[in-house]
Amino acid sequence: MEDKVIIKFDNVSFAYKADEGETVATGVVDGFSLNVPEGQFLAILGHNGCGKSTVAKLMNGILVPDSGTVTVDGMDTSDDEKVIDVRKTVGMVFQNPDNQIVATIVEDDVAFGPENLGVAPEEIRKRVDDALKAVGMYEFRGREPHRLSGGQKQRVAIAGVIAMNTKCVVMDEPTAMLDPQGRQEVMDTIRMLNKERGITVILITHYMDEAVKADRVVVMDKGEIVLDNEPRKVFKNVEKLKNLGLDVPQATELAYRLKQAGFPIADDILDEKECAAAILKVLEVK
Amino acid sequence: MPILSANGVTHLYNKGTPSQSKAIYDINVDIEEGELVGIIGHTGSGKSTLVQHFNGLLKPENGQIIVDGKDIWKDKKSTREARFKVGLCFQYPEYQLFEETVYKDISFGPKNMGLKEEEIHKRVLLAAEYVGLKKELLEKSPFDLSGGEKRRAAIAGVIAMQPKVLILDEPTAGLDPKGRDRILEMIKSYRERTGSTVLLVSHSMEDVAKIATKVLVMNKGQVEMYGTVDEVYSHSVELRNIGLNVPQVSKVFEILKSNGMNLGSAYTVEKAAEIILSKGGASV
Repeated sequence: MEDKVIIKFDNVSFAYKADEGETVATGVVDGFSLNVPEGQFLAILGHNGCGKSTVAKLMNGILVPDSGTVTVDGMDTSDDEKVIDVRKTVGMVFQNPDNQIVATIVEDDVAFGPENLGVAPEEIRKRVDDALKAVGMYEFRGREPHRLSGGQKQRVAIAGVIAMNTKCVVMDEPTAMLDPQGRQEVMDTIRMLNKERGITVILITHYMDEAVKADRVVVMDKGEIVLDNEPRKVFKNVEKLKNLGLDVPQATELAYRLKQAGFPIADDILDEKECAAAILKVLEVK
Repeated sequence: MPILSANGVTHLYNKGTPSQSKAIYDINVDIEEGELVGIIGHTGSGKSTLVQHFNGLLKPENGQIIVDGKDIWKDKKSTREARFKVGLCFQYPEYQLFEETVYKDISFGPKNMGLKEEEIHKRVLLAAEYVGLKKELLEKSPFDLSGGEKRRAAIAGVIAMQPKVLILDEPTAGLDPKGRDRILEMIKSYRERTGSTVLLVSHSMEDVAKIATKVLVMNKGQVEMYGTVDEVYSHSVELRNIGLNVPQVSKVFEILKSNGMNLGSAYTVEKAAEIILSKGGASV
């Protein structure tokens, strides 16, 4: 059986209207098509200005296409009548945690979304508690958000999305402003949402170690998809990714360099364990 | 003589209130001229509080900050001097651009120093060159630049004061890999060309391994370690215990070692490849 597609881009074009006096607008997409099956963990990579954030904003109707269609769970995002339903289906988490916290108490912040949807108070209470438990922030429910660490704030923002019962979460560089520990917390939360709750996750990131954990990696350049495959097959293209201004995981790069120098090692290595095992195999024979 | 020292520096936050806490505590560190020091530590470890002491933005509760042999809080003149000798570039410095043109923005610091127009002009051009900003961009509004260009313009504003010590607080945060590499390259070549001391606050163990000569590790408001990249990164267990991590290539070497293949250690991909190739396999 074919997987159900939750987000579908069909030949979508979009350009920002240049302000007066401005010349070039970046982040344009042109003839962009993409199917995201329900339950997938999709990572989108690309350098700044390649159009990935534009794609993210097209996913829940913050932007609507100039031409072509974006369909979310069967709804056309250009349809004004459907805008609320689209946003109920696809939640967004942005880069800067400080820009997306609205309340002065953690649980009020998480309740903000469902309140706006007109959910009944007792149901809100249930959802808020459930969402905060899911991201491991329940014990912080009475705290002031500005006293939390960056990673904790992002988890509260994610809880706000969960409390809206969205089927899909789009995250635009949610870990870019966090320290390694905060990044780990947020990545663990993202994986849990996807694996345990079956929420479709679209993660935009510059961190390759995060992309490695996805089911599928899409690499964008100049508003187009240039690579689209499982992580192992995408990261094999070391040269191509570097030319696009992107990284590969260090373990992948090490294997690539060794292979270039004539060291007989596989070219689809993703992490430190695989890399060490492959090196051992070669050197132990010697 | 070190260019920069902290002697027993302690700083309290919310002094005299019930929430009073020690932000940094009894910091003793000497930084020699010409070093490129990576300052690492998780959020809240005191990195930013410490660097704000180095140019007199924060005054220590106890202890002294010595810049170029002088206690910066000895008198008003010394404090003012320290602000020019130690240039501090904050996180996301592009939010602090404010002038009509990039040129005016970069010249703001040198102007405040009371320099002559001619000297200011020279410094602006030189600073722009150090950070790789093309001359034609100088007459543009800073708000028309790309994200990476904005950041480099903001850094140029600090460099134009020609500080003896340049401090950059997470200069690569939020950039894409290419933007990050350009900034790192720029920092490295700036230091090589000017011989200045550079302090780089970073969350990236990989970035620090690439360019730093020394590493200062902060934890819970204290200096946990201070030494060369090799000295510090070899303590991977201790680093993990305080919420830091070693680069992925170093983990590869750790796994090899635990399997009885001790190849020493490597903290960058280049070094790792070199070591492994020297052990054989290249001729195959």
